Amino acid sequence: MIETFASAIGHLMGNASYLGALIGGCLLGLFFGLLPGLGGTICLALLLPFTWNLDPIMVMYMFSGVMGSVMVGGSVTSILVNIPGTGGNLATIFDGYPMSRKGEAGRAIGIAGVASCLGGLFGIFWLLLLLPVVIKIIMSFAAPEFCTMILVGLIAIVVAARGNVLKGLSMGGVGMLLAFIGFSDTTGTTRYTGGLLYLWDGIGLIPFILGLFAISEVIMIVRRREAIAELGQDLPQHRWANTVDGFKTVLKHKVCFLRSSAMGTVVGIIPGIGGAVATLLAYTAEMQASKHPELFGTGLPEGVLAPESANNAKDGGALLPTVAFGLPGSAEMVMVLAAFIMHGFAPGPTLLKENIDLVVAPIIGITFSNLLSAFIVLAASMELAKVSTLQPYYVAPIVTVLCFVGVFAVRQEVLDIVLVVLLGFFGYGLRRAGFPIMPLVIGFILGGLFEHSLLQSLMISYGSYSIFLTRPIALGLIILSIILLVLPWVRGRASRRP
Amino acid sequence: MGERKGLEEAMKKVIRRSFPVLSLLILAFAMGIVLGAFQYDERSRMLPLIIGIPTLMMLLVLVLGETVFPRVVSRFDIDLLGVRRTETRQQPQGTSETRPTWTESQALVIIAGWLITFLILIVLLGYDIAIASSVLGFIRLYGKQSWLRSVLVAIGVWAFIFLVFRLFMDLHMFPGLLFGGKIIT
Repeated sequence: MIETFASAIGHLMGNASYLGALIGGCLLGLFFGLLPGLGGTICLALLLPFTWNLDPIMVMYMFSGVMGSVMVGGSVTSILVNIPGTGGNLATIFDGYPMSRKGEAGRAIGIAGVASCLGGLFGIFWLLLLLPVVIKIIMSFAAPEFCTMILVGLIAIVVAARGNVLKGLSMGGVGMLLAFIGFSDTTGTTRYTGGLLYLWDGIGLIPFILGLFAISEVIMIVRRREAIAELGQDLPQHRWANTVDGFKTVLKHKVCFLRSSAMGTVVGIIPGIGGAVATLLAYTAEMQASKHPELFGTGLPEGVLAPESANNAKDGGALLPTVAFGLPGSAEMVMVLAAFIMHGFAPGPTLLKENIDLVVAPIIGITFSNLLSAFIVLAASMELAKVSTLQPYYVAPIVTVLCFVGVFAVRQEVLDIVLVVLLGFFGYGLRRAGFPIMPLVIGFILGGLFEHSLLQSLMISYGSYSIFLTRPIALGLIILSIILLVLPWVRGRASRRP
Repeated sequence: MGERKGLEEAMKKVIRRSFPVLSLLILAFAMGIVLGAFQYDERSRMLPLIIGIPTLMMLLVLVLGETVFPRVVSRFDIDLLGVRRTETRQQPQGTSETRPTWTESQALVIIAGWLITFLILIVLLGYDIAIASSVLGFIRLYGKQSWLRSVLVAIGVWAFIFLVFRLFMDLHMFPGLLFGGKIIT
């Protein structure tokens, strides 16, 4: 295996077209990650038609370049302007944006860059290390396991339910209810559309996120009449100071880093779970393990480190089910799968045996792309951090235009822009009234997935809930959910005892 | 001076009243989902009811708390994990931020008006005209920047969008209802 990797790296370094494809893909991914609403999936979908006559290995390098860098780009907008560049960057804004508000945008970018880079590398390390064990577990994953895995993710609602517990939990519930709008492929019914054809596909995730985060933030910025960084920007002494700080933070919180990257890899391997769940789980676990959970959400470095380590680590893991079984681990992997098929390769054990170069190329490509994109972001962190000091009359129109165009680019639906504006006002109202937005978004993302897997599980068991108790992994995940809920309460009581 | 103060008070009243209205709207939505669930078959209504009923109850407590029993809501001003009491306890009517000042209220009206105008311009005239005119208008009127700077930023933003989305991504931007665009509802 090591020989195969060494030979593939040598091949990459000696071939200008492979290297060019990788660097080009990396720059493109970084750019798409920076644009609100446009993630790696859209970038890969746009690239796909142009690759039909290219060398398949070159295509894999180009695609992996995009996949490895898009999360890094997305983390920048999450930190600077409260817009998660991709779903996988959602948890980064919990603490990344508060750091920007405190004038620590450069530091947050430094931590995100280093965590992304090392997270990507460790993702590959964990993948190789855990592969023999994890693969057996993953093979036994069915609807009940998916359902309980999502249940663990839903615990994040509890974590994110800051402030008033009633407001937090009710927002989580409202988020889940919003996810039920539209056509359900599990039940075959169309619900709550009010006869509108537009709502047939439900509320889109991109307009939902952009409206609640970006547009409501635009309103807040204009209302405050001041730059994002309230207290001005803490500019470091030299260009690489943020990078050094990022490394120091990773070293200081090495357990958090290792745990988050391992979680990212394992979640990545499970098909259909996605980056948002990986980062939410990593953030939740970190908060639960922390001695000072009350500081999460106020601009804590670990709050940036955990999700950023997880979201890049998951890419390596997501590759495995795609190439080994033809099961895409994420939306981006659907595009990789399409590229394989377009070039006449059927993913599966045969591909692993006969075309190992094609399998190794994206693994190496993602690793290199992680390194390169993190290097670019870290090198530019001082300049990027200055965005947080821009005056609201520049930030507001530019962010709004990018959101309006970005949201239209995804589905070419004008009504998505109307929805973005409505959700922007709704998000602003929620913030003003002290309702936390994060549980709403987590509920929305996981609500549909939860219903789908729950109904599938009940179909398998002919309506019996005992299926969740008779399958060891599902039962284990239920116990884990309970532990995640109860542990901090127990610890809190123990620490209050004299 | 007195007239301005009166206007300020009126504005503050409107903003203060809007918070229970928001909770009521969310409550109405949850109620709509729960009641609407009964028209679907057993499997389709299961999750909307399982999630909807507890959500509805919590929202009901919130609305009652905000309007009739403020002390009830403040009892829940704690994280579910019990790790932190919130700042909301020190503030009236469950808001986590300070009330907007008159200038902030003005800014709110400006941004709301601008967003709606931008939206209408896109729908009627399409992206190209809407982007250029909205960015120009905002920087010139709200930012009070010079004409030259406003025009340069507006052209810069439009050119970026044109290059990336139109030329590079080959995206067909909405041309506007007046120029042949159609909206399917």
